[in-house]
Amino acid sequence: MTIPRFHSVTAKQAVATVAVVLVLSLAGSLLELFFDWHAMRDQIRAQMPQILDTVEGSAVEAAYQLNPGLAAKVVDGLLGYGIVVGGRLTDNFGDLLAERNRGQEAAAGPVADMLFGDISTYTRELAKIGGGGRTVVGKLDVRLSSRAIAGGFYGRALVNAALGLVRSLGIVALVVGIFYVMITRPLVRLAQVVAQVDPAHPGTHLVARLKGHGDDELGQLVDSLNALLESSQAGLDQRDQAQSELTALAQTLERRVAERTRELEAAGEEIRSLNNILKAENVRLGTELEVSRRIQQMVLPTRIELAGISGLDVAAYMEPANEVGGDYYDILHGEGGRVRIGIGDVTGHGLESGVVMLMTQSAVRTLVTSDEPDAVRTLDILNRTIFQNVQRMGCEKNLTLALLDYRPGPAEGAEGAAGHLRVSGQHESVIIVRRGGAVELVDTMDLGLPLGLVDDVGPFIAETTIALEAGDTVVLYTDGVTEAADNRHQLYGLERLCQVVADHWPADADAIKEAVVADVKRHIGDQPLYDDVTLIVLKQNVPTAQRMYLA
Amino acid sequence: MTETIGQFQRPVDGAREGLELTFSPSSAPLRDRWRNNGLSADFLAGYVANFFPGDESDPASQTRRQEIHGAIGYIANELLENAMKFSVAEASHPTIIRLVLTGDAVLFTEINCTSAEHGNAFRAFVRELTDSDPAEIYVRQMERAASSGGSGLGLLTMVNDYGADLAWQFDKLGDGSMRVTTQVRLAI
Amino acid sequence: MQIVVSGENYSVEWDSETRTAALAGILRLNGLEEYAPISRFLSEAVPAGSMTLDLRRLEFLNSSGIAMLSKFVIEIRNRKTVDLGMVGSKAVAWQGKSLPNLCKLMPTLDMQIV
Repeated sequence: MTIPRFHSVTAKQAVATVAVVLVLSLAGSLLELFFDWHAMRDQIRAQMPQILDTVEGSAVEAAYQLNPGLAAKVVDGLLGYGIVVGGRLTDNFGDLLAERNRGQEAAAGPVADMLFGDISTYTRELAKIGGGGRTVVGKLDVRLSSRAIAGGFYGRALVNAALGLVRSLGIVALVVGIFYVMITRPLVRLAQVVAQVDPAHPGTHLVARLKGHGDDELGQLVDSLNALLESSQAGLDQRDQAQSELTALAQTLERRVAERTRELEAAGEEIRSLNNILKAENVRLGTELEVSRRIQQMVLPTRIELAGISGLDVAAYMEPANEVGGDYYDILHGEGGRVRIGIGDVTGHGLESGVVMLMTQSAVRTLVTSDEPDAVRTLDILNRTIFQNVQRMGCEKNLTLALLDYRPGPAEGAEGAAGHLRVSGQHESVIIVRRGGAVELVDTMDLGLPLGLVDDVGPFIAETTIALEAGDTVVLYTDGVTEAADNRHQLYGLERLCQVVADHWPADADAIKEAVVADVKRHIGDQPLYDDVTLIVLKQNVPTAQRMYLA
Repeated sequence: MTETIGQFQRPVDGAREGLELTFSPSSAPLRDRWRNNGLSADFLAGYVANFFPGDESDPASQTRRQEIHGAIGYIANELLENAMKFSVAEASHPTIIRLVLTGDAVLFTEINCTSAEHGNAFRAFVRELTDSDPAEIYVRQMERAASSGGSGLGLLTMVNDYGADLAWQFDKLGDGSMRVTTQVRLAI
Repeated sequence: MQIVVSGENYSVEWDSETRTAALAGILRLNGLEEYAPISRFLSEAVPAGSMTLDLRRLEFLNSSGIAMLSKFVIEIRNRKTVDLGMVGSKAVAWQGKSLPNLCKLMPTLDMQIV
């Protein structure tokens, strides 16, 4: 790029130097002026007494002799000094002996007065030393022209200033010149040389050394610059080299990629065929699962059956988990409003659990049909059946099982209840929500033992009876409900289950069931069920006789 | 503005006898007055001499009386002449000549007003006189007298020839004139 | 002796034989101007040779008169052609006092105070 004339380094430097030197020179001149002024004042202050000394003798004589002629000579003599503008000799009576003033003189300017006005008058008392001592015979007054003094001063000041200016400009020229030769010119030349460097091939034209600057900073600059150019060139060369290597590498890579792709394709083919095999497996497994699920659903009571139960409002829900869990429940309608309910949970998952469940259902039904009244015997027989079967199957399965026996009206020996429920066997707690919302829990731990575990559970079976009034609700569940977990592994819990039922105590069984299911579903969110969920809700209806009464 | 030269005596102490003459310069022409000088001088001389009658039989005392007479006469004459010559016609103050006898001397006092110019010239002369050796200045003045009016000679002769002591007082007056008081003390 | 100058109280007499000028009386003239006649006479009296000034009968001389005499003596001194003598009297008081001074002006002056 071309540099405009006044933007060049030399021009800038010249301007800066001129400015600085002028300012300094001005300051210097002013200082000189000040000292000169002082010196001049001192000189006059020293000179005047000397002048007066030289005329004093004659002046004293003139005054003593009261001689106007002599006095005039004295005064004239004083006027011989250029700066003296007036003289006056008076006698001791104050009468004028002689006075002389230098012609018509223009008044001194205010500046001159300011500078020298205060030192422009001098007085000398004239005294004769004689036999009688010292007698004052008169007075000599001398007046100086501040204008004349100032004139001289101005003259010298002007000369000083001019000289100072010339000197300053000389220094400026010299400084700028030297600087130009020593630094600016080499730098400019350097700049030009650098400008010619081909950015694509920096190392081809190295910068020539500067004459006379071999071992100073400029020389260093040239060396550094050359080193930079060379390293730049080296860098570029390296880059080119790298580039070609990269190209070769890329080509190799392409080849390898093609190879790999072929390998992968082959692998993919393998995988596809494997996948197909897996799918078939899955299908097979799924089929097994399907079968299990079907088994589970097959023997569940239907809605119609449940609806047909009078005296009790029954609602049931079962949802199997992804892996069939082996929950069992059954509701068997008997004579005279009797209802037998069974609920249980087979250990483990899968087909075997399903089979056990099936066995259990079958066994229970058989016993109910045979109308075995003794709960202990019922459960004992059940246990023995399951136990032996399980032994034969060789799978270590067992199940919790609770048997509930509902009859309308009060139990024997009791009075007033709308119905009563006999419970036996070990399973989860039985939840009773009385009309009004009060919750009771019936613990079944002491009512039995899991079936299929030991061959004789007789000693462990017990029975308890629950009286039911109209509006009371009984809820049976499996641990799939209480152990339903959300994404933080928080279990649904028995308390919450009780709470939901209590909250909905006035509703009918189906509504309560729906409420609980919804709540459990809400709890688990998007988590899957790990265990089957089974829920049975029984609600004691208003007895027919009463019902007719209330209606 | 006052200048005193010499041993000037103010109110004269111990004056037992004295005379004072007063006259105004303008009242009569100089010529006429000049004639009175002799009379006045003689009178004063005689007046003073009377205080020294001496003894007729003693020639020394007679000589002394003569000398006193002569000296007083001369001095008085000179003073009168000076007064005549240098009194300014327009002077507002009269000229006074006073003669006073103290125990051991006769003291003349002459007061007259003159112009500042004359006064200063006289003052300069008096200064010179007091600075110089009377004999030397006498000769010098005599030589000078050859070309000038020779007024100064009177005082010089008083000092030189008669051994009188002189003193002066110069007073600058408000109207620009100068009052000159000359005192001549002659030891008797 | 002939009277060559005279005034109210004085006279100047000249004896050409003895070349003596005698001043007599009382001289109180005002300034050298008034003494001019006397001084002129004295100056012209003797161009050269001896001359005597007799002052014995001059009873009074004022300072102007003394000045005149002084001037005369100086002139005679400068002229160098005249031998001047003066005669004074002891009886006249001023003469013993003032005349000797004239000798100082002209050492060759022959002064006699009798």
